[in-house]
Amino acid sequence: MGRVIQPFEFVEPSTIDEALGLAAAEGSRLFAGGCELVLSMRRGEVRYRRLVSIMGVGGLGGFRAHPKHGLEFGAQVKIRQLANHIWVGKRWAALHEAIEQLHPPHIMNMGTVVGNLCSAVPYYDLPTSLYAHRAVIRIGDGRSDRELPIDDFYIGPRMTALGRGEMVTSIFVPPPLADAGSAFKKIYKARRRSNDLHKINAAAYVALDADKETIVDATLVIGSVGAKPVRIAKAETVLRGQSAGHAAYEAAAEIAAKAVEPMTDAAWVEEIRSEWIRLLARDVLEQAASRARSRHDPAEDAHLAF
Amino acid sequence: MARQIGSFKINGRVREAIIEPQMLLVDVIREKIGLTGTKRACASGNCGACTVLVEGLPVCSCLTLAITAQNKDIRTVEGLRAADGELHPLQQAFIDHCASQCGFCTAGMLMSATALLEANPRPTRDDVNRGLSGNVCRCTGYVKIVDAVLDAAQKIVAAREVTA
Repeated sequence: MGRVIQPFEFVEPSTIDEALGLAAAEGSRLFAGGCELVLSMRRGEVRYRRLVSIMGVGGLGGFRAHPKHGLEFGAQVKIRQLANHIWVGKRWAALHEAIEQLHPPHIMNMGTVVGNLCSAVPYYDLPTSLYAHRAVIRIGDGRSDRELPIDDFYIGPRMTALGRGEMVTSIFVPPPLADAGSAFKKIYKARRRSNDLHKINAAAYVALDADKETIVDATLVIGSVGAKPVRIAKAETVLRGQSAGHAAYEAAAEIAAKAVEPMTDAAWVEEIRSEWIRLLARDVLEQAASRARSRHDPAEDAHLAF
Repeated sequence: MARQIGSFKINGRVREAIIEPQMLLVDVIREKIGLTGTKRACASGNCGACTVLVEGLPVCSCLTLAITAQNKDIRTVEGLRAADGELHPLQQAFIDHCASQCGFCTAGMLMSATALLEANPRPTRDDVNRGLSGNVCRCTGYVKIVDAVLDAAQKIVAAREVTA
């Protein structure tokens, strides 16, 4: 077990251009909170000659959460800032729940949300919850910005769509509809054998019509089943327009369990994991819909928002 | 490679040490600065034994590069005791409730509990469970630790009311 990190150079530039220029070199890597990076470097899984810290760069620390304008945060925003914000808890409940269940909670004080996304670890929770909220990733190369829906952000195991000389500058999460709720749940440490993947997470977003009877929009995401979280598009289309009730969620969960082929190495594990997916999908949909139903008139929030 | 003098504000005192970029905060605190109360156990952010407070919030010092913690307000378990040698109420409560057995997790437990009580002086049992959820203890079974933290919380609040 590698206990020692191989030597590297550590630089702290103050502008995005400078940081991207330094990080573009071979063996360099951008560094924010460093939770994942320090761990994999210590384990000897990766090795970099130079780490470029973005924590001193100006203009990346913005944070804004507004129930009607959406949630927006820069690359330096630590997870703790989102965990403590009332609107994140009220309107982006799936994200809030994923943050609350991070283990250990110390990570909240150390890591950034953008770093969590960019490390592209398949079993991380925050990407799954941000899929449910249909987050938009803003990618900058110092001169221009482009926006990418989170669905297109991951292109393979531990690989993102970021090109050389690009970085995620901020993330925008659109505001949910007026009568909408979301939820996140995970099953983990239910490991039977050491090389089984021992976790599944799921997140859902359900928007109801004004009478809170019919589903007008839904997102269902299952994570930790492959290289990236999977949106169950078929279940989402089936849910749209249906009356909000247990039968609809059961049916959608059935579709999810069939649609996902969980990453596994033994047939019997696959069976268990499919059942987990069904249960989690059903539960997150129920919970999200229950939150959507129990939400009071959004007009009552208006005075708080401004 | 790139050796430099790092300056750390630990327990209110500025301490300097020769560091390299790849050094972890826990190693610098233990080996360079000599405060061995902070323990290095799993070194992968699972157990919480290495918990120190940076700017008042618990972090795993085994996942923090020392170079990034410079000039920040760091508190370790050595800083809990008052200047006259009197134990912090949490430390006293840990003794009174026999809340440590092998003692390896205790430093981390104390730091997490300190951060918890500073944020929430009247925690419920659930709050304490949540606050200590990042710290693993393989001896006590947690009941005595949670008892000790609740007891310390009561004593701290009571002492504050007497002085106020």
